[in-house]
Amino acid sequence: MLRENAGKLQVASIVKNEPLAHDVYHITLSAPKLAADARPGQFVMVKVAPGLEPALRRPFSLHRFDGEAGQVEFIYQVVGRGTDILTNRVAGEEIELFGPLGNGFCLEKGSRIGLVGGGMGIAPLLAAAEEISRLGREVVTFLGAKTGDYLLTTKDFAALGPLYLTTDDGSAGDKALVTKPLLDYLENKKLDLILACGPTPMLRALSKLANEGGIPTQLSLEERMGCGTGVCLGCATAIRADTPEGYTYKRVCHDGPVFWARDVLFSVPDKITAKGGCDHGQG
Amino acid sequence: MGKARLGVQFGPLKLKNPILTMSGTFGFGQELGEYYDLSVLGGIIVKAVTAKPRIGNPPPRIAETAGGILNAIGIQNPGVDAAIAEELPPLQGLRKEGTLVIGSVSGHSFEDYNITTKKLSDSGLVDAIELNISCPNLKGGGLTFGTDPATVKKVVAGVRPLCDVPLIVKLSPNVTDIVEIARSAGAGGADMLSLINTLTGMAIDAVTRRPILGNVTGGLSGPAVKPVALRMVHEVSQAVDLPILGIGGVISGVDVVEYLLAGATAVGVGTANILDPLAAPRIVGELEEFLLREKIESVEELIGGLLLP
Ligand SMILES: Cc1cc2nc3c(=O)[nH]c(=O)nc-3n(C[C@H](O)[C@H](O)[C@H](O)COP(=O)(O)OP(=O)(O)OC[C@H]3O[C@@H](n4cnc5c(N)ncnc54)[C@H](O)[C@@H]3O)c2cc1C
Ligand SMILES: Cc1cc2nc3c(=O)[nH]c(=O)nc-3n(C[C@H](O)[C@H](O)[C@H](O)COP(=O)(O)O)c2cc1C
Ligand code: FES
Repeated sequence: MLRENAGKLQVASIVKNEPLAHDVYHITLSAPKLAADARPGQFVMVKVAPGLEPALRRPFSLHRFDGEAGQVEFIYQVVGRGTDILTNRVAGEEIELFGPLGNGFCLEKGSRIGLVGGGMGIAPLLAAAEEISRLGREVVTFLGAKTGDYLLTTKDFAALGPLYLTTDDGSAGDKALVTKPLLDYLENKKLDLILACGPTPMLRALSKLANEGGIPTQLSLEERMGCGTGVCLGCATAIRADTPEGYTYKRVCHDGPVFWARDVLFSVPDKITAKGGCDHGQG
Repeated sequence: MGKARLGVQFGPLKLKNPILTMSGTFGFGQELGEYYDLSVLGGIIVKAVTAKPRIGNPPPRIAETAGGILNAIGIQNPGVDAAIAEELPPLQGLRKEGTLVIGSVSGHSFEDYNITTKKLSDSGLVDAIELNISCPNLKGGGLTFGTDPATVKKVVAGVRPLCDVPLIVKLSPNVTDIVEIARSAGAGGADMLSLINTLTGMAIDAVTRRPILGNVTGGLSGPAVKPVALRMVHEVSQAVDLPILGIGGVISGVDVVEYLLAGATAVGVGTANILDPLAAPRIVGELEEFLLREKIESVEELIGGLLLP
C-alpha cells in the first residue's frame, strides 16, 4: 500500500548537537537512507519533538551529507520555539526526519561555479561545494554575515577553493556586502554559474547583478511551510509567468526551493495581488 | 483476526470506508499518490476550483498556532477548465477501484458557482460535487455566502438543476446558528452536508507588531477546532435529515469514531495530511483496529450512536 516516497519518513538518531556560535547549532544525525538519496540544495522537514507541540515540521537545508558514513548535517539558528526545542535534543536520541525534499541545485553545466551565501544561507552551500569539487570542477565561494562569529564552517569551504569573506561590522573579512568581492572577482575572471542562498535583500541585489551580467544564477528560497509535499499551497513564492498578472505562485517545497534568479519576483505589485479567499482568506 | 466492515452509504454514494481527504489539504491527489496507493481511501475531495484561475494570496500563507494552523491560501487554483483538462483525468483510475473523486467548487458570485458546477458535473470526471459556500460574494457587497440563510438557499438552489451528480454543501462555522444554515442548504436542494470549514482567525508577531499572514486573517484548522466541529455536527444531525460529512481536526481513528457517534456518516481528514503525509491511510487502519478491538462488526453501527444523558 505504501509507495517508495513513504521511505522519506525516517527515524534518525542524533550523533551530536552542539553550538557553533551564539545561537547557531550544528547537528549531525545518523540517517543512512537520507544520506544516500540526498542532493545538494535539497532540504529536510524535521519533527523537533513527537506529538503536536509543535505540530508542524521545521524545514532545514542539508548542510552536508555522506552516503558512506550514513550521516547528514544541518546548521540551524535558534529563532523560535521549534529551533529552541531542537537545541535540547541530545546525542543518542531519535528524531523523525522527512526528506530529502525539493529539487536541489542544478549542477549540469559550469566549469567554474560561484557560491554566494549570506547569514544562515551558508548552510546549503557546503554540500554544493563538496559536490562541485567531487565532479572535478572549480568552486569559488563568497560568504557574508553580520559579524565574524556568523561566518560559519569557513574552513570547510577554504579547503575546496578560493574563499572571500565579508561582514557588516568588519570583524572578519572585508567590511562590505557580499556582492562587493563578487563584483571585484568578475572584473577580471569569469563564473559560468552562481548558486546562492541568503536573506532577501542579498538575493535581490545578486539577481540584479547576475541578470545584468548574464550569469545563470540559482537561488535557494525560504518560505513558511505546511506540508512539504506540495499539497497545501502554503509555501508560495512569486515566479514570473505568462499569466494576466505576469506571475504565478509556485511552491518552494515542491517546485523549489531552488529557482532561477531571472524568474524570481521579489515583490509583487500590490494592486494585482488578489487578497481574499474564503472565510476571510483561507482555502 | 476477523474483519470489520468499513463501508458506508453516504446519501446516494457508496464509500468503501468513511474516510475522505479534504479540499485544500490534498492538492489534486498526485503528490500524496507518490506516498501511498490512494485506493485505500473512501474518497478524495480535490482542491477548490473557480470559474477562472485564481493566483491566491501573498505569502506568508501559513501560521502555526496551538494545536492547529492558520491558512490564507486564497483559493489558488488553475480554474475549472484546466482542472478538467489536466488535473482530474489522472484520477479516473481510482474511481474504478471504488475510491470516489469529488470536485470542490468555490465562487465569488452566483454566476461563478453556476458556471463552475455545471462544467464539473458535465465533465463526467467527478462522483460528486462539494460546494464551498464560505466565500465572499464579491458582486454582492462582499458578505460571505454561507453566513446568511436566504443566500445559502439561493446559491444552492441555483446550482442544483445544473448538477447531475450528488451535491454536498460545505458549511462555514463562522455563523450564529449552524442549524439554521444547514436547513437552508437542505431547502436549496443539498443532498448531503459537510461541516466544518475553517474558523476565521489571525496570528500576530509581537516583535514586529505585524500580522503573520500576508492576508492578515486566515482560517483555523487542526485538532484545535475539533470540539467546535463535533458540537456543530451533533447539533445539525439532531435537527436536519441529511447525511453529514464531519470535518475538523481529525488525526486518529478514534477521532473518526467520535464524529460517527456525533452523527456523521463520513469523516474528513484535512490538516492531518499536512502534518503527516501518511496520515489518511494510518487513520483508516486505526479505525479498523478500533472496530476489531471493540468487537463492532460494521462501522455503520456507530453512526449517530452517541448516548446522551
Ligand atoms: C527550504 C528551507 C530551508 C531552510 N534551511 C535552514 C537552515 O539550513 N538553517 C536554519 O537555521 N534555518 C533554515 N530555514 C529556516 C527555518 O526553517 C526556520 O528558521 C525555522 O522553521 C524556525 O522555526 P521555529 O519554530 O524556531 O520558529 P517560529 O517562528 O516559532 O516558527 C513558527 C512557524 O514559522 C515557520 N518559520 C519561521 N521562520 C521561518 C523561516 N525563516 N523560513 C521558513 N519557515 C519559518 C516555522 O517553520 C514554524 O512553522 C530554512 C527554511 C526553508 C523554507
Ligand atoms: C491549507 C488549507 C487549505 C484549504 N483549502 C480549502 C479549499 O480550497 N476549499 C475548502 O472548501 N476548504 C479548504 N480548507 C478547509 C478544509 O477542507 C477543512 O474543512 C478544514 O481545514 C477543517 O478540517 P481539518 O481540521 O481536518 O483541517 C483548507 C484547509 C487548509 C488547512
Ligand atoms: S508547504 Fe505545503 S505546498 Fe509547500
